[in-house]
Amino acid sequence: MSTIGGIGVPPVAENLPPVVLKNYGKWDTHEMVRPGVIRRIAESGDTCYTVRIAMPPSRVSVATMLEFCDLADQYCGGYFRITQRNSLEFVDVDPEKIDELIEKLDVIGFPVGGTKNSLHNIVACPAWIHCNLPATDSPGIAKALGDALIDEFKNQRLPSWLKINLGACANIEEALMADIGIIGVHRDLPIVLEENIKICEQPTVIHSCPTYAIKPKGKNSVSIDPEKCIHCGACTMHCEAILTGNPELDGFAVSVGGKASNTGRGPDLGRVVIPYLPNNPPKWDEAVQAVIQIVDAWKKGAEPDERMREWIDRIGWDRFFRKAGIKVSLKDIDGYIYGNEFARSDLRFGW
Amino acid sequence: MPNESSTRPAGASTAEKGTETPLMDEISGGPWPSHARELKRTRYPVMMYEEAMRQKYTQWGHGGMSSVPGLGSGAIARKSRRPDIISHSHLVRVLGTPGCFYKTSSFRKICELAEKYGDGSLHMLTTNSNLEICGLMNDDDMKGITEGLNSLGYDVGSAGDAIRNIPDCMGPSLCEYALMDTPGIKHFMTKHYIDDIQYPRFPFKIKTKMSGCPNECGKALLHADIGIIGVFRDLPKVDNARLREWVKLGGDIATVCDRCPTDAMKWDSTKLEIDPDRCIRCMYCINRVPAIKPGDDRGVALTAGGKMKGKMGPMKGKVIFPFVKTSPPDYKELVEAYGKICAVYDDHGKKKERIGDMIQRLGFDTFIELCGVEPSTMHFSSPRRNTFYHWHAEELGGVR
Repeated sequence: MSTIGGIGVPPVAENLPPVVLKNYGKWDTHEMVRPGVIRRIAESGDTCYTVRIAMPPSRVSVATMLEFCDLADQYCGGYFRITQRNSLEFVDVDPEKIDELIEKLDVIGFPVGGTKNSLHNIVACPAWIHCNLPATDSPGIAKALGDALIDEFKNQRLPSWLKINLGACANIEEALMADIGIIGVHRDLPIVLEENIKICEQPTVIHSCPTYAIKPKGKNSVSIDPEKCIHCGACTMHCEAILTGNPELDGFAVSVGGKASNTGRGPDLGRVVIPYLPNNPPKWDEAVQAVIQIVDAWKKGAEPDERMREWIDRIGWDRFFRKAGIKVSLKDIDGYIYGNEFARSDLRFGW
Repeated sequence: MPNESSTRPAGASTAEKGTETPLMDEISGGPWPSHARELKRTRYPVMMYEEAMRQKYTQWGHGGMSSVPGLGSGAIARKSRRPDIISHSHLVRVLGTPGCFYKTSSFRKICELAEKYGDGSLHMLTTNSNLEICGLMNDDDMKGITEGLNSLGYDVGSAGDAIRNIPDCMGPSLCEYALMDTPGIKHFMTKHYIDDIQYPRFPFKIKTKMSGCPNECGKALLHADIGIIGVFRDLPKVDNARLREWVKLGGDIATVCDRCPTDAMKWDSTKLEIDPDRCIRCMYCINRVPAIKPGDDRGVALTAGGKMKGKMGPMKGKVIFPFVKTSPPDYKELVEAYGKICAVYDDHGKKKERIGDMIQRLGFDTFIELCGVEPSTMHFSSPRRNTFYHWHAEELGGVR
């Protein structure tokens, strides 16, 4: 009997370049040779050069990956890695040939950069490419933002790191963890397909709703209270016969100030500052304009080493909205029933 | 396959099938790598994406039924709302390697499998550091591709209400800050929990993430149901001779002291003092100055309840085990602590309720008690401001 699965992942050493294996756990320091190129120096004096490139949002073709394999074979002994932000890094590149590698990557359309004080690779979910829930198209917006901010990716001239993540529905993916996040927003009411609803597990659907907007209707169906629905998409996730999304109403929100690192004020999720902008493929002008507006204000106001959130913490939300030119609306005030701690209980206004 | 009535009435009229892709062509160029160009290099049904852009609405439907025979998870099914273009398209989730390193010789073989069974498009990587081979059309292929991956030493899983793939940062493989062996622990944990990764049995998914140090490149605290993060307890180590050398070569120690979040550093131009009553081990000075290294009393912190989706909205993780030693090869203390959180979730979680929502429902104090952790100041950012306690009968000497 053939068994399947039960293996786990390949052993650690199997995919490590020799220099990495030799100096495992014994690295001493690192420095930026140029944007996108890091030299790692081990206690033994060994060095390891890595070259980082931007990756297309969400999907990449086998053909392109094979081109990367060819380049890795030619320039770095056949090893690469994918970073936590889904950039691709050629590991242990021959320092003599770095310029040549960068030129070749440029020819096939992959910019080198995304290290230190620059725009890091943009993380996006598949959205319209392969998902049933999205309210917007993360890869499309990521591409538009990447095109607009390409110079910030290739240079290290921002005050600090700039990370942009996109999640195309209320599930958010990693959007709230980035300095700037784009989150898909549904505004329609979910539609119950009466003829199919009996295939769903109705108790699960009913208790999946955070605001108790879903109630049993007769023996075989459910109804959704429009006054209570908060468009979170939980019911559609668990039931094939409840659909959400409307091309005229869907769009996205913009959040700022997410950060995972414990430096500065510590880790925190971002806050949504622009509640809704309309979908406008393929160039996504509204998204690009909103993000550039925020980035420009941060560039102008931040001190060296100040991430988006640290800058906002220093100047306060009053001044952030003013400097970023964002109009405050009722939607910026958290009215969700669970634990609203964000109402102001002090008089330390930033007039 | 969805019938006509389950096809969402779109805002614009449904176009005929067509083969022209003007909108995708428009975003195929430009300086940033284009997903449209990538999709066109594969057998992905490009009209699905073109139509989505034209109608401003996804053309894909709910997940259908497909699985790897003999395994509970690893395959993700996706129906289409446009049977005139494509009826369905499944994908297989491959568990990412430790440290996300790949060797071209074995990666080329994965590419061969993707070409043979899929449409030639890959998702590199998912937010949980899986590698997805997309565009599988035949349920029968699930077995073939999994066997092919198994023969290369790779495995599938990480879907459904299971422990998901355990992403790790590069850790000691390339990074000098690593306080724990993230790739080693990833390999160990995946092997140890492979049944829970491949056979879903929990109330909802358990996403586990690892970061080697409090810099948190793995986003373990914010995003993971269970986060494992390297920490150290003693003070950062300062090599004053090296620091003087660094300053002489232009290192800006004044700014580093100035930006220390708790003002814990004093530099008198010969040596650096770190105030033990102020330092919070945030990593800032260590990141900036090569002469400052993390301390030697190292372990991991386990957090629980971070999540984005779910009933009560996005939540940050909460510290459950502030300090656990990691001791290879069996990582006894780590497995005990991790297993405890999973067991409490298994016993108390409701169906489709993430750990964060469960903690909110039960109360954080109750969760800490269930986990059997000794309460400490590491468990809160401030003590509570109400007196709504749970008093157990035995605490009241039998009076109540």
